[in-house]
Amino acid sequence: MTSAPTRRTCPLLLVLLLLGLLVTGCSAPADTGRYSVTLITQQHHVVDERQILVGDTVVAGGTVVVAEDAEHRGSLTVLAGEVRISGRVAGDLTVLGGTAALTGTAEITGDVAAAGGALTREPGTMVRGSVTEEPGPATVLERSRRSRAPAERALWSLAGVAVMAGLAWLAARLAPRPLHRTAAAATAFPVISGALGTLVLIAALPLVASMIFTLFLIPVAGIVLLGLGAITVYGLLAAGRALGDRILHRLGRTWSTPRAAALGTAVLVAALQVIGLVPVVGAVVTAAVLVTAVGAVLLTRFGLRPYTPPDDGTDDGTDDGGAREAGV
Amino acid sequence: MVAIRSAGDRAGDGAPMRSRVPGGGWVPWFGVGLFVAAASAGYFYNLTFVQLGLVDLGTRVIGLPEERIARSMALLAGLTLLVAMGTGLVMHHRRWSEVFELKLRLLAVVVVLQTALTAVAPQLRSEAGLLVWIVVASIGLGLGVPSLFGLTCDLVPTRHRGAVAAVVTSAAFLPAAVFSSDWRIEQFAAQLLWLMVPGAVGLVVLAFAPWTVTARLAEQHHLPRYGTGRFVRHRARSRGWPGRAFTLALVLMFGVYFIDSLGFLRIVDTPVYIGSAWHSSDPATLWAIGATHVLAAVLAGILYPALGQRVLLGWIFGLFALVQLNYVLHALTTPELPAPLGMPLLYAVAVSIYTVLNFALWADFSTPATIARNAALGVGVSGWLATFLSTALSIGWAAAELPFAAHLRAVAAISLLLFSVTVLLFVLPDRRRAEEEEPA
Repeated sequence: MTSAPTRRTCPLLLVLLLLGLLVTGCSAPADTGRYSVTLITQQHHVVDERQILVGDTVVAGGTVVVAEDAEHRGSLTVLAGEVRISGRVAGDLTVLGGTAALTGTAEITGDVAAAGGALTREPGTMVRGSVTEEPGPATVLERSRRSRAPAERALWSLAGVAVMAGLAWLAARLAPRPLHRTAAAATAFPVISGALGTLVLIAALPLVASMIFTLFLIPVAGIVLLGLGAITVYGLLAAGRALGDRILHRLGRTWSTPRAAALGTAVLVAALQVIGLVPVVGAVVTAAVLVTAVGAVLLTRFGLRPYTPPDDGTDDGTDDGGAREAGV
Repeated sequence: MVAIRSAGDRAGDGAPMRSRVPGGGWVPWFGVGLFVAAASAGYFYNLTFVQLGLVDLGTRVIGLPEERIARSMALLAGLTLLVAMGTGLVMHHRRWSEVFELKLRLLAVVVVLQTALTAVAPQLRSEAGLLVWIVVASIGLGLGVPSLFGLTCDLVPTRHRGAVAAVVTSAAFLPAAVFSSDWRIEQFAAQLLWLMVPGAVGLVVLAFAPWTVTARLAEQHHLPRYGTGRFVRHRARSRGWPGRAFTLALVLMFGVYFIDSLGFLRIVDTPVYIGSAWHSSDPATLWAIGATHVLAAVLAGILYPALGQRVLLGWIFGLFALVQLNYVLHALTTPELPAPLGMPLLYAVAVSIYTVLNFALWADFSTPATIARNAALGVGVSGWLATFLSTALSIGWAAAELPFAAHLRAVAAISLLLFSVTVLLFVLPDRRRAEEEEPA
């Protein structure tokens, strides 16, 4: 038999692990403009002739100059700001933003990769590894936003609907009770679910941004984003399950739970895609559904327990003389 | 005049008279409106006149150095704490906690006193005058704590305390953010006197003249839906110490106020952060902060009855840690750039949530017999003691010339520590619940 302490050990350890990583993120020295190993964020920095700078460098602002006959032993990553290399870089050069200029005397022993930002190379620049220039994330995003042909859009929408319906069928077949509990929370307590979901999303954005800013917590930020995505998808499946039940009830039909969940999820996702085409209203409705779904998943802890408000019975006029839920 | 009777004169201990009070009509709504008006006006007064106006009075008008102002503010917080706790304990032992008329009259006297002090404050020109003002104001504020918060059990139904607290928080923070960007004592006094003079007159008339409505409001706490808070577990021992959960809430709420005060004291002194946020000249920024306060208060009002208090406190500590880490990261990496608006907005979310908790929590640990003591302890220790200690610590850190980033990093570390404590308290098994789950 699983006792209460055992059930709680795993989440406790997980929370402590995440907390430890977060605390690590704020333990850096407080020198202005320099963070962790070498993060350049502002001002003008020069590696002079015959000087050697050891270690990786990330440029997120300001200016960095590697002079002729100077050496940078380590990889150089440019996120923003300006880098001018006339000397030797014993490592890779990656340009994700800002500008990087290689003069005729520059030598890069590793690979040069540019995906966003501006990379210029004067004749005579020596790159021992490969040179790759790809469009940046912003360009890729911009391309993805370009209007597709209606048939292509419909195909993508149908694919989304089919994938979500398949996931709903799978979830309802493998673990029907958790999905039912989550669906019950979303339908019986939509306001509470929505409020909790809104609060989670309000906190998640700065949390992820802070983690990304620390650089070495980027993997944790990825985990957080994946977790949020999983919560959102599971919440939509649960909402779809509730919708499927209602549709079938209206139609007077009886289907198995997995099929009902698949039907409801397909209708929900398709409806959201259609409503999303309407400006403002589409965004509001989609946001409301998403935050309610997220909140319901968290209220029931992925459906592991049913949600009941702690103060149920407060207003019933009874006077039991004690033994009320402490609520803590 | 309505005669003030002690609770024991009515029906004896532990024998509430439910049948005497009709439940419907406009009177309950009037009661809620009265509480919202008094609480939001009082909090608005504290947020603007006391926290910001007195600093302006001391530095700009009287010309005192910042350290002396900080000492005066610490004196105000310490004295208010003592008066609030003393008043709460006296009301508890004399069984005045259940007497609605007494609490209302005390509140009316406090509002009249504070109105007079507000009118006088801009005329002060010496440090001695400021100190006398602070002593008198501390007495008023201290008397106000148990009387105002003690009215919760008479005026606000238990089930709706979260929602009412959300309205109070919104009504205090929205105008404080939007209409009080000029932090001069004269401006604050002019604004507040328009509000306080009619309020004081109305409250005195309501409290000291015989009215049917006050007589009906005075009986409301006997109704089952009023009076006893949702966290009260043993009404038979209702006059004793409210229990371990109350102590824990007291410590955690003290932590919330402490880290908020300690962090904000430094942010408010840093022009790059305050100028682009609470003290901005851009109305859009001020409205964004005000609207965020309202949104967060609404969320907290919904979640207060729906979640356990440890979960909510965990949220608050987590949000405070996050916002202070954001300030630290900004100070370390791009101090020359203006701070993103998201930072003060996140701060507003955290502040609104704990303010909602503050207005509902102490009443929910109380019965009418204990609310004056519990509210005085709760608000006194969590609010005023935290302010006193954080101000004192801030003076010490300023004397040690602690850099901004180091200051806020320390605050973030305390926030994370308290967040860990609340998470542990939440995740670790509840002994009582575990016992219930064990097979017989």
